[in-house]
Amino acid sequence: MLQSDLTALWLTIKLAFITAVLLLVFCIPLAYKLAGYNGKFKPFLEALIAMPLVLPPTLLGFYLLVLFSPDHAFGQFWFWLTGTQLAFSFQGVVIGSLFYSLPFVMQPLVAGFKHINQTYNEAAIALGLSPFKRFVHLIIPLLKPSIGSAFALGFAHTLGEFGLVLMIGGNIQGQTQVVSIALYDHVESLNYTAAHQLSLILLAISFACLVLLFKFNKSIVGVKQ
Amino acid sequence: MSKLYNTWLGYFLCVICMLSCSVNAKETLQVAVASNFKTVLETLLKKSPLPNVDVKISAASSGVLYSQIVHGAPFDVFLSADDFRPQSLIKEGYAEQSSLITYALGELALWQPKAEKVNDKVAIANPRFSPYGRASEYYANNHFKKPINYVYGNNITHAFQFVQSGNVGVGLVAVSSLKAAYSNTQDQKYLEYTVLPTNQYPDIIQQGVIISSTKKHASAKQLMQFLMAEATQQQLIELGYRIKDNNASK
Amino acid sequence: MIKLSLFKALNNFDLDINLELESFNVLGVFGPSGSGKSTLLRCISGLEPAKSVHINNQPVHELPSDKRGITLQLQSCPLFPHLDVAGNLAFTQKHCGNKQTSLTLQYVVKTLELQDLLNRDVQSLSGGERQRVVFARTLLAGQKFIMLDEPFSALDWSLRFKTLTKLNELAVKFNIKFIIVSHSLKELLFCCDTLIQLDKGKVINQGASAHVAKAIYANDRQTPLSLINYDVVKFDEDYGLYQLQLQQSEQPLFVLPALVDSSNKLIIESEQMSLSALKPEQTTHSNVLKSVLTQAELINNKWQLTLNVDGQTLYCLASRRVWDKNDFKVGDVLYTTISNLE
Repeated sequence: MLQSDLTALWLTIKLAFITAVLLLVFCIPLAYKLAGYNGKFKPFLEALIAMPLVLPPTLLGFYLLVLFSPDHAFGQFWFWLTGTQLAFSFQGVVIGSLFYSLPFVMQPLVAGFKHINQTYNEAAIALGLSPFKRFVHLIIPLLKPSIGSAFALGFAHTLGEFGLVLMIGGNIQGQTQVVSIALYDHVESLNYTAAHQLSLILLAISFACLVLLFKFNKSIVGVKQ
Repeated sequence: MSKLYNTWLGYFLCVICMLSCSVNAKETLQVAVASNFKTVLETLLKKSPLPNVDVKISAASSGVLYSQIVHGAPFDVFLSADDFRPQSLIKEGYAEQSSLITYALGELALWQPKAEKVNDKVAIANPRFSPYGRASEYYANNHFKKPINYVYGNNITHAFQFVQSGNVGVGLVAVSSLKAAYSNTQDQKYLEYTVLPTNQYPDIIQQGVIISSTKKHASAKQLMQFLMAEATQQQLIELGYRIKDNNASK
Repeated sequence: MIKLSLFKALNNFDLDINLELESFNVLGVFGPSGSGKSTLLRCISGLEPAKSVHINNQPVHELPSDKRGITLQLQSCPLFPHLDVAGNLAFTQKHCGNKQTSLTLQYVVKTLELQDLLNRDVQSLSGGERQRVVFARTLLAGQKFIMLDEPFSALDWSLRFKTLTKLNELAVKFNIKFIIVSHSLKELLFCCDTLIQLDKGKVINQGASAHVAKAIYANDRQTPLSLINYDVVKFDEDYGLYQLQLQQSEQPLFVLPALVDSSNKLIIESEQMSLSALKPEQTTHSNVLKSVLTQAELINNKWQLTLNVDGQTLYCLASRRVWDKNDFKVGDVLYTTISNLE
């Protein structure tokens, strides 16, 4: 195995993990609000969240390239804040991945909250529990399988990210050269053996993730076995 | 109601069949083109379309197209961004030696649209599999102060986009990209480049071949001849390429 | 004295309540589906917003549910699946704040006989077991004002009456006020001291259970139910029956143990009764009570008969054919056979 491939593997796992965790932190409260919201803007919000599902990743990447540019407001703000540039950096790829995998984390969480709201949350309110106690002692424990699903899906999805990283990554080893890009490089330069090797490992990791996912998926809420 | 619907459906299908079976005076030619040459080819053909040939263009990276052809994709002609792949096809029996042409030579420029550099990165195409990238890296290694912080685009156009979007301050890009961008936008920044002396980097030889399995030899030959015609070659120079003096393979 | 006033506009009618009741222990809310019973409880609890809710003239509709001092047990009340039975019971005990009663987990488990269920998974419980656990969990929230929506519908009548009796005991012992919603008048008559009848969002009847029940029979095509108070004389080991004696009377009834509990009350449905002018010695019947026909009304093509048994009242239906055939008259002494007691 080439050293560069190992670097790419480690980078990809790091990227997938950080993205999944950040998305969980961001999405849990958002999903809670969205599940309980039934106003007229609901279809628009849900569509907005689902957009990364239907947009080509290269399109997402292209717009991020424009967004990150020091010629534009966001890029300038980031530079002012951190002194670094977002394009061609790990941080930039993380931000891109947050967009890319957002629906994969949001949707299981929203489904989980909806189910909990319908069945258990109301009963807990009627019993006279305070909102804080309800959230900590009832909703979060019941939400565990959904959190597990959301994490596994976000992680697995980010593992396979390609088009977006291709656009904004700049293919820098140790920073933005993730496994999918390394694979692409091998194929483009006709180095099929290396491509096969790397693919197999990525396949194995993704498969393991999905197996875990379906283990969690047995029930939509936490059930005492 | 259903009967009426069925009748109209029948007519509709009939018409569709007729239209698709209609004898085309023109013959359709499937051409696989390296991405960076796609718009150029379209521009050339728009100006002087081939009589009796309807050219259908499929663009992708040279590597992808190569794989596809090796796996039986029904292309008639392959215009690569390099010389390695057409010659590999010939060696492996997928293309005809006699049809090999060098239709253009890539031309590199150093492009720095803004006087103050936003960072110390240099955008080039990935040298692992892009001839433009290899040439760029060769030039840069010989002329830039080390260490050089490369940013790799997956092809020469991508490298161009990095500089164009402002994310990288300087890049080694194709002159053809700059000329195309200027003619589209008239933006001055596309003129802020220096053409690199051609003897300071390896030639970027863009070759094309006719695929052996084609059934449209005549049309394919027509296209190749068109590309090598004096008028076309002159146009290529205007569009930002160099030309070879003769047709012989390397 | 307890005052409740509430207003909420609904789709087909408005929920408009203005109640003033003598203090009660267990209040029953009776009415057909769609009359607003569940909505009423939900508004008092705070699950649903209402334009105004005043309890004893205090505005309550601005307060969140956990600050009202009221516990509501929903009809669908689910047990939390991530905890076992013991965990569910401990849940309200641990996490509900501001407890008003001194009920402990051990006491509730003992009273409702839930010891064997404590370590079970909630999915494995039967419908009846689940309802008893849910009720225990509600009690352990520790409030003095508890509302129950169809709480015991999955229990068989014997167990249901037993549980309702315990509910009554808890109400008295711990000074808890219960409000029970049910569409079963039998259940409400058994355990409630006060009853209100709801129809299309308005209270159309209120007062002591016996009175309201009587009014319901008269107006509502309801088969009348009779409530008998008794004392236990002894348990006959040989026959396996309890010998009961009607209060204020010497007339006995022989009853299966399943129907006897500490409430000393028995509900008898009209179908269980048959009338005859014949003395019991002349028939093979058992559990025959001597009674006097005090009232007879023809309602909905059936005769509704009111019988006096040594001061207690029995209600019975008779078809027109039976009435005409037997030529019963008010003031007649009639012998009422009560079946399905032994």
